[in-house]
Amino acid sequence: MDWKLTADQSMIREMVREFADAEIAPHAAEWDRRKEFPSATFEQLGELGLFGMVVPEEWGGAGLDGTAYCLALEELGRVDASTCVAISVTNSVYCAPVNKFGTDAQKDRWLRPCASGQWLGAFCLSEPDAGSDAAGLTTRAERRGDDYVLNGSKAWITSGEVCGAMLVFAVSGEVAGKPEFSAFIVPREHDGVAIIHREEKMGLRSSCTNQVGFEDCVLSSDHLLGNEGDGLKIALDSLDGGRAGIAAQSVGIAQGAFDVAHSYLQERDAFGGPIGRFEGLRHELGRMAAEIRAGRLLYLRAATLRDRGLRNTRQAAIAKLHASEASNRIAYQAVQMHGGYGYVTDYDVERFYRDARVTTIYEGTSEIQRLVIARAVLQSATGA
Amino acid sequence: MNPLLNEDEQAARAAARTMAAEAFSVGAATPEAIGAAAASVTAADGVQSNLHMTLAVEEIARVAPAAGAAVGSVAAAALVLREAGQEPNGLAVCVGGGSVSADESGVAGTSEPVPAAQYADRFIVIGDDAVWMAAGAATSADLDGLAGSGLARVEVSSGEQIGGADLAQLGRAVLRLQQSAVAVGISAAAQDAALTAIADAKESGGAPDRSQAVQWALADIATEAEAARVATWHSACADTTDQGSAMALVLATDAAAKAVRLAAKIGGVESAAAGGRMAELQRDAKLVELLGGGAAAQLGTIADALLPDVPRA
Repeated sequence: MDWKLTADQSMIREMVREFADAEIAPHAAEWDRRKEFPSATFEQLGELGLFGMVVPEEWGGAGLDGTAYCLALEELGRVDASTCVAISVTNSVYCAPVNKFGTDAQKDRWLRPCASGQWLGAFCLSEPDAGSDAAGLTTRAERRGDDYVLNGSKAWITSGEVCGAMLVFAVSGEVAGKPEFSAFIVPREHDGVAIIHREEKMGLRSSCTNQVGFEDCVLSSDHLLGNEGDGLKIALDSLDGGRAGIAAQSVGIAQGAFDVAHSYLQERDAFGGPIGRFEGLRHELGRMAAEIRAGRLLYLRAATLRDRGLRNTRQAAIAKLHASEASNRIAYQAVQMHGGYGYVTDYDVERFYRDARVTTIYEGTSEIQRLVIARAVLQSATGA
Repeated sequence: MNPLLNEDEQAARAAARTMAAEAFSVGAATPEAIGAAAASVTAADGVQSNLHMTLAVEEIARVAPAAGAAVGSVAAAALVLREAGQEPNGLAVCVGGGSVSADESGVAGTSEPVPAAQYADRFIVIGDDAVWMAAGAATSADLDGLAGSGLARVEVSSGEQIGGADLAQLGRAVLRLQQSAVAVGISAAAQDAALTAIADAKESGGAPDRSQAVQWALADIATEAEAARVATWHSACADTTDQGSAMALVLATDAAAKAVRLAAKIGGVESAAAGGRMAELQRDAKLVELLGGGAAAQLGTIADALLPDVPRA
């Protein structure tokens, strides 16, 4: 067992860390306050190759492994979860499935520009009335001659209004009384696509989260990703990859909250000295550090499995469940350590607290992760 | 980055699983079986031996926590002795804590309870900056849990110094790691016991596996155990500092306590049956959580490393 990072993994982590500290951290609070998507910074991130990290170089990507990708997400999450989530979505649930299931022609047209940093991708699965319950999805793709016609609306779409293209899942038929789903690549500027509104959110305020509508959106068959009926398979495979990334983002947020709390315990004087000398706070800090380490090791394990071509459904769910729940506990505790200053916007810890909250919700709630894990444990005699 | 077991490590884990089933699945562990198991799991060299120890102790503890604790205690001492260039004759255990003092001037005092101390003929005293091989007298600790592990306090009186601060630091780490491995084994045992309870209930016509409360409890057991397991493996391979091993121990003992509580809930009132597996696991998990100073000692160690310039109040 070798826990050392490879040269590529170390390099990408260092590069992203330096960029995050220099170009993102100084502005993240202001972007959050103004709910401003930092387009210019995303142009730089694209130039650095962070939109298509796991995409092969022949398709414009950086050709890195999933472990390097997760390390990059942690570094972004450490300073700004809003920036991190847009990078996560474009990599794990747009580029990765298009790379895996797309034809060469589709990759040339809709993967290369994204992977090379020209525009972001989006992932449209959830709807206003259906998220985890895929059977409840109502957006339809009707066959009309050689074309498909999309009608319906999608909710909680990260980067909807700023993306170049989105991966859309729709009911395309019925098999044995159950809906059959297909996946389509849909350019944002395509006729029949409309950004309905932008959500006002508790956290991740500088990322755009949109409701997207499709009204008589006509797509030729070359927009179909994989085969008709492959939608659920593509969605679940994408989410397995995405969960390790959200775990990494969660660890990043936790690390960011930990870092400010760690500094504050040394800076803040009370009762004649720094508050970091009090045992109760010291023990909390120790527990926070241990939980961050566990979360990091879990996402690295899940990512490594996937890099080896092995199924990681259970490990990715465990990583996401543990890291996202721990992230919330750690951000909560970091606010608590700041006292009143944790409740105002003078310190970043308030932003970390708000940003952490969604990690137990998106890309599969903690409740869904528990069902995934339990199913795996019950199927396995040992579970280890 | 490869945080997965390689073929040799998987083979070592499988061998430990077989050994655990053959040597420790029935009745109390004998000193001979403990010594033989400890010798086999410390046969590897260097870092490998730390990992092999944790893999084997977890598997033994999964079958019999008391035997896992005893083997871990002896194996940890064997690793310290080897690092000190000493011959691994007889059966030694590491002791410390309690009123024990061990520095350049000498060694004296009574240790905290240590597994396998009743069976040991040599005692390695781990101080802050020095390690001693000492003579001593073991007294049964008479604690509730880890029955049959040979748990005893040791009164040490005289001996020879065999190492300094570096060896003391390694000694503390391997002691924490074997204790972490026991705790991870208990978490795995709790999961096994919960699955057995579910299977038994299904045979009686029930369907507890369809209960969402049961599913969530199983998921939480598996998640906490996995977090503790990777932290323990990581510390064994890549971070034998006080901080790294203390993190592994905190995570592992917290996970074990939670796992047995959730498993007991899944088993229902039968989990409280006197002498039953669940009741035994609950006692064992509690004791493993308390040995070595408990979570408070480990959290203090981690905090000392995180805040080196801010002394404790």
